[in-house]
Amino acid sequence: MKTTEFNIAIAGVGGQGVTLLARILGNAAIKEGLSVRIGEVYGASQRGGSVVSHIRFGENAFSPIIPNGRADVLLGLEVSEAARRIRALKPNGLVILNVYKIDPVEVKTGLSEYPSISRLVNAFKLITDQIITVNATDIATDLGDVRLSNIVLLGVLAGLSVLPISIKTLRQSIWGNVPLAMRNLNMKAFKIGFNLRNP
Amino acid sequence: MLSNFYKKFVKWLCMYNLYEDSPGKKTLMMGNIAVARGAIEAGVQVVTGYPGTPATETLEALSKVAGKAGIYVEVSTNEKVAVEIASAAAISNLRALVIMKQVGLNVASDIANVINLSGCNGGLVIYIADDVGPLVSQNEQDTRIYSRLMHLPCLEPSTPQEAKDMIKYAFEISENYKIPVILRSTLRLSHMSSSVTLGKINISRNKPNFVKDINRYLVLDFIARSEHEALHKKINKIKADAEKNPFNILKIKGEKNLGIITSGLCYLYVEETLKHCGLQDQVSVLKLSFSYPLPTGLILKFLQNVKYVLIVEEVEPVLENEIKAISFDNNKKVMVSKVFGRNSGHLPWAGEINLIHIAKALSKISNTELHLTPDIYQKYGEIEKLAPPRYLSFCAGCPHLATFYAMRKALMQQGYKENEWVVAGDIGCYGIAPFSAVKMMDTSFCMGSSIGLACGFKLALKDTPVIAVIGDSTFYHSGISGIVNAMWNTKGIVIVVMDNKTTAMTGHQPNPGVSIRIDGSESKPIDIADVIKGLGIKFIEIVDPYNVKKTKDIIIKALKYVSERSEPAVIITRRECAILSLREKRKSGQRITPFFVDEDKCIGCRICTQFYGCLALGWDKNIKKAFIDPKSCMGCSVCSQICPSKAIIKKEESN
Ligand SMILES: Cc1ncc(C[n+]2csc(CCOP(=O)(O)OP(=O)(O)O)c2C)c(N)n1
Repeated sequence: MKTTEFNIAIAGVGGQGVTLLARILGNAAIKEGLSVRIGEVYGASQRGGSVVSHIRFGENAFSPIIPNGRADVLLGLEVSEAARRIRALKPNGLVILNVYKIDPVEVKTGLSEYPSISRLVNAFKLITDQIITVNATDIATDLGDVRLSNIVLLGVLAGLSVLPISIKTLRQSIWGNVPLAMRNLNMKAFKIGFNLRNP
Repeated sequence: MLSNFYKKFVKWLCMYNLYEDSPGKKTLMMGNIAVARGAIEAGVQVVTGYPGTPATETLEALSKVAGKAGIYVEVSTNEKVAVEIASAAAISNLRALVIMKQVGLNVASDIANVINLSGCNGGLVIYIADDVGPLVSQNEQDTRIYSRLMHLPCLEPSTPQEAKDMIKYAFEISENYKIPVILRSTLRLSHMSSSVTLGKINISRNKPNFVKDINRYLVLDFIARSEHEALHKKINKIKADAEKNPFNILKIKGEKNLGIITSGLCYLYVEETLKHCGLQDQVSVLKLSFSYPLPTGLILKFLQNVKYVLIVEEVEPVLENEIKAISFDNNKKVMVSKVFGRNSGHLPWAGEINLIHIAKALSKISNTELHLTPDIYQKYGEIEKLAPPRYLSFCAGCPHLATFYAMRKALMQQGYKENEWVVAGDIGCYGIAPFSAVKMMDTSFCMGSSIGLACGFKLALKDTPVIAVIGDSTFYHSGISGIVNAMWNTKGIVIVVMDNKTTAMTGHQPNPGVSIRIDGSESKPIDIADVIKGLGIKFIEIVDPYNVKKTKDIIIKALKYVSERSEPAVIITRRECAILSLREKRKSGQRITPFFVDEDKCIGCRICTQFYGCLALGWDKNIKKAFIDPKSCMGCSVCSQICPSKAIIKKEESN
């Protein structure tokens, strides 16, 4: 499919599989002959730090960083991380949130507060009406591996038919980018996510 | 033990098609991996370097295909040694690549400032990733300034594809002119992924050969002078290549008014700004491939076509100042009347450039309004501020954290107050300490500096207890010379070597203290204690930091020892990095028994969460008791040792 510019920001915590999603989307784009740029901010990712990947499709997306206010989609694997990266999102852009929180140390040790999830989710309404919440971590846990929550969310995104990439290519890319032993489970997670908005 | 981890890594790399010989194939590649691929395509034979974000992946990637590709790859003790090895290999006609982050060149600058004079025979390329921002380093120094000091040609790719292709070109330039060449990247390019079209892998190899020539390789004063002259001649010749190569881009557009000169990743920011502001057909652009030496002819051609020129570069106004000089020298020929950039104040003179900066500069120069972002900033801020800070923190069970806890206890037990001691820190994971619950560490500068600084603090503040903390990788890298100094110049400081058996901060590369090298081959570990003993230092203690009381007692003993004589005391706190040991335990199927808080015994004193603050510990504000997250707990037992009411116990002990 053609696009001159389509931007996705994926926010999460190190270990949640942000970079895997970026790789799946990037490889799928190349397969479809779409220009792709991926920028990743990590470094502390191993240590439960804040991670964000910028995935950009189309020939008008030059740099690896989505300019402020130009992301079509903000995918949050963790709610507060999505809030931290809100600046990337277009006014009225699409937000997909995993209703899940990971407390930073300061919160765990009682030195800082984590706002309630509903307060966070509601706050996104200041910028957009397109907010989709998913209990991806619960679904993944039921499937037997919390790490699948990223693929569930990718499924939700794919089910909304906004991506400039065909579902077939996306499925192939998941197949090719996850560990062999995890392929079937990943496809299942994708399907569940896909059907959530596409019953 | 580590081999499983490596196998996984190799598989991951195969996805990057690092050693696949299928020219023309398009594949998703990160800038650093593209550099590795380019080096393979160029037929590199020797690869050396020292890890450092944002350059590390190139070294790691090459090490994983070393055997298959017949390339020698090593993690050298430091960047200087790395350049020395590669220089000798290249003098002996082999193709050599050195990999480092920007500050590595400070360490290597001594040799680099001489090898530039004698030059090489086989290609010698130094790949340096700068950290503009800085995002993960102690500074944002600009390698392009070094390239001028050293007279080393400096190439700047703009995309992963160019990074791959330019490294091959860099080897050509290096061999043609017998001069080392710098390939300079910045973090955003090193960590950016995009489509890369693979080229052919060069399987021909240079034959090793050293032809003695004291007029070239014995760089003494009288030889250096003539070689300096010769070096300038080489650089002048290389200008022809800078003028004409496939990586320069020149676009003359519009009313001949406004132009932008740029290099590296900034080229992408420039193109995107122009596209978004609808100025692509009005603003002329020159993208330079060489940032040293500059192609004066090409720049003049550009300056003859524009009236105002904005220089977009990261991070110092290097091009800006030189282009100003070029236009001054040729003021009769050029049309340009003003050169703007970071020096002129049109762009900020620190940190990364972004599209808004460029748009603002263009607005200011052309006196027009350019809009790039939505006008609802305030609302964004309201959402943003809800996110609680997520600072870097010690991993659960980090042995460094335990060492710092014991250190603070020891100092306080000796009657010292917060402002009565100095802990000189170093560069590594332990740098998190001042921002953690233990709040230790007063200084942090550059690798290996802690010990020299501690000597200086002791000199200045005679009765103050001074402790230097340094990691194992940093000890081998550049700590040893500091310890020799402390001993010989008789300084009563306590040196704590935090030996976690890895280079953790940069992603667990091996160091001389372990038995498996980065390419998987085996070696004999060098024990830090043996090195220290060899210096004649008498106070050497090795302790497991997971034993809090013993560690504290040894630190007290060391503090007393140094207060009574002018001699350093060395403590090695030895315990494998918690991430590595967790990984091994998981692989070998060992169960981890987490600790838990017995709510009946917990008195809610918060010592564990506020003064130790392990990632696995939490505070339940409803019942006012501590708790332990069983999923994160490593079972190290440190918190159970510090709990005054013995409320933290192991699962099995409870029944
Ligand atoms: C000259 C230089 N080279 C490389 C780096 C990148 N770097 C930062 S921390 C670090 C590793 C430190 O390892 P170690 O001292 O063993 O501490 P650990 O992280 O394992 O606790 C490196 C290589 C640097 N900052 N400076």
